[in-house]
Amino acid sequence: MLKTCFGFLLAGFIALFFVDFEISTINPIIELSKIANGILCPSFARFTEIYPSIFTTVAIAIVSITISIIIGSIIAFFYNQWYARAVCIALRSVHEIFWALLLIPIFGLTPLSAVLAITIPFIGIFAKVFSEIESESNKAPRQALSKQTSKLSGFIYTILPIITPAMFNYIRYRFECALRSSAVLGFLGIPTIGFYLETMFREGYYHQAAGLLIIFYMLIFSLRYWLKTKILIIITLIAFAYIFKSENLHFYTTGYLTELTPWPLRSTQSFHDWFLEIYKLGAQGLINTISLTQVSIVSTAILAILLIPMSSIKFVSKSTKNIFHILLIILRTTPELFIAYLFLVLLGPSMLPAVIALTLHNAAIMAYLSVGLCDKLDIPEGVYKRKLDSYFFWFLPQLFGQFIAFLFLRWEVMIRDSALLGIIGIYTIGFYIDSAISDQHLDVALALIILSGLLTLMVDTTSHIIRKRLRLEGITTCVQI
Amino acid sequence: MLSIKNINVKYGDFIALKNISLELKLKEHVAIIGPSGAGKSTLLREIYRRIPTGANLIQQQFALVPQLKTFHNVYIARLERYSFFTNLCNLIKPNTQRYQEILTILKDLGIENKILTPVSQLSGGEQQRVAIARALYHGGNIILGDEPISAVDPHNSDIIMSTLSNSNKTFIFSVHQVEVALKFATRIIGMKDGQIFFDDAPGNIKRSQINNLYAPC
Repeated sequence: MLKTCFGFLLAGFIALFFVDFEISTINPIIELSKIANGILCPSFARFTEIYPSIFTTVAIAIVSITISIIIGSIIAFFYNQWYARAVCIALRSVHEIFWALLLIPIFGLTPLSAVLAITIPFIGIFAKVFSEIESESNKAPRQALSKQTSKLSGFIYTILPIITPAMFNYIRYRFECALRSSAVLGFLGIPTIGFYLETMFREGYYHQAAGLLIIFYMLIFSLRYWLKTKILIIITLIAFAYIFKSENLHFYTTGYLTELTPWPLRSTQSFHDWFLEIYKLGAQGLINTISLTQVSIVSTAILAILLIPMSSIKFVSKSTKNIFHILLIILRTTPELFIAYLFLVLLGPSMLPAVIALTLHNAAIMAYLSVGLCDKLDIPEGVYKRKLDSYFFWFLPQLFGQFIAFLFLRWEVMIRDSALLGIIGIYTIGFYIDSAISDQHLDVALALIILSGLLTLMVDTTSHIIRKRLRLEGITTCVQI
Repeated sequence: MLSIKNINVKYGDFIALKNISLELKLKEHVAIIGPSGAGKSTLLREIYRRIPTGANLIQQQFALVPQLKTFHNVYIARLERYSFFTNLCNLIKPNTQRYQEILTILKDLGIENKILTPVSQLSGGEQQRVAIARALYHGGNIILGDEPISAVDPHNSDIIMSTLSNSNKTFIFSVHQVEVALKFATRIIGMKDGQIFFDDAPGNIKRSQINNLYAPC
């Protein structure tokens, strides 16, 4: 395990040479004080103007989750077949943002584009997770059934009741993810919370941006209070009626498929030149994406290791723990894109805002999960004189296996998120995809999206192999990160 | 009823059953006794596998669905008799007739007041009785019990064994308590190291044979 960790440290160090850390704003301190002032005095003045966007954000999340659960559950039955797995891997490996970039030319900047963009990868995710939940569930009751029992009857009596609690648990977590994705899609122009947040940040209305962020947090933290089974059906029906109401439906299909066709097939340009263009853009985008991820994963691990003792009751007072606990939850809940955009405004365009955003968000998740384990461990009496010694020589060695397992799972997520940060002007593969779409080169964008999907798949497979080799598989199966 | 000849079962390098041959008759109450690891559970499973019409196996781990009520866990034994939609309706709202049938069995086992309690809220002994109720509800002629009284107190184990013995079915069970075997079985098979040590009626088995069965090698 140590060899693998050193390998990652070395990769992070080498990646530093490919990452640009320039601060290009003239006066970041003044901007920082404005942002701090905004955070300390949030304003809700434009609430009447933005509240439809809150409703849209929630409606998109509800409809996407509902459709993806239905289709994902059906596919889960066939997940042991290679073709079902292959389709799900393809759906999952492309980020919601990139699906949206492909769908917006057809459905416009409407909630329907957002719904489809979230639904498509979520189908793949639900199919995989539901199938894993089923295969890891207690099989004794179904094995005790008589051989003549029909599969459907056996399923509703001996499988469904056992897997339902784990499925609901996962759906609740995924709904939170869908809310975040729905908000993030606003950065593309779809009228969700992200749309207003981007405008407020860009125009320097930090008081209002802080107010809107507070509303976003309240929306997520209050989920357990309003997402009740009894009213869920009514909420879902309203959400469907809203998303599919006629003024939200637009179709611009003319010429779309033609534009997705590689340019050499539609013109006299040679395939060589077309491939060369894809190669240049793709190579640059992929190198930047990988470099950003590798630097961020190392900084994430370091920050998380520092945050764990500051948030654990074993090392700090209850009040300090509570303060850090709230901080971790806020950073964990805030999408990286929001944090990155904030630092982009503050520091100017470079990789630095992206590294900071990925580090803060992921370290908060890692620390949050590890603190839960740390708090459960008891320190042996009289062995360690200083708290810091006990952390490094008692707690950390015991947490390390789990910590590394979480980190590898985050690695897969971080490579996807690094790619998507391109849409706010950071030179990862997402930037080149976004630029190709702006230039109406949909064929190039599609090729780059496929490349980005292949990269995610490669990291996903590598992470799986390393976890298996280090015997970390299974440790994290039920953890929702 | 069933004839078994020269069975050998291996788990990796471990030999669980060596050259076992048996003749089982209808309505017999056969107890399989022996120290842990003697091959009792393996022999029961081999018998279960070989009974052509199927039997009811009361598993050591109960194999219940903790989220479902006692009623549904017992009803599972007869899923194959009804259509999917009948089963689905019964899952949502218990059918009155099925409810009465199951209540009668639960009364014999002393857990009729737990009929609508989720199994996860029952004690180990109560769960074991639900597993037995499920085997009785199935309605076949043969019941196999892999330590069916391992989780209940002596009073309740007597009730359970009486219920199973009086059910007029062939009853083959493994058990750790030799006194229970002597009291309820019509035939006792003593097993050690995957082999049959003795196989006779309780009245013909000597105390010294039992002592030798449990003596360390």
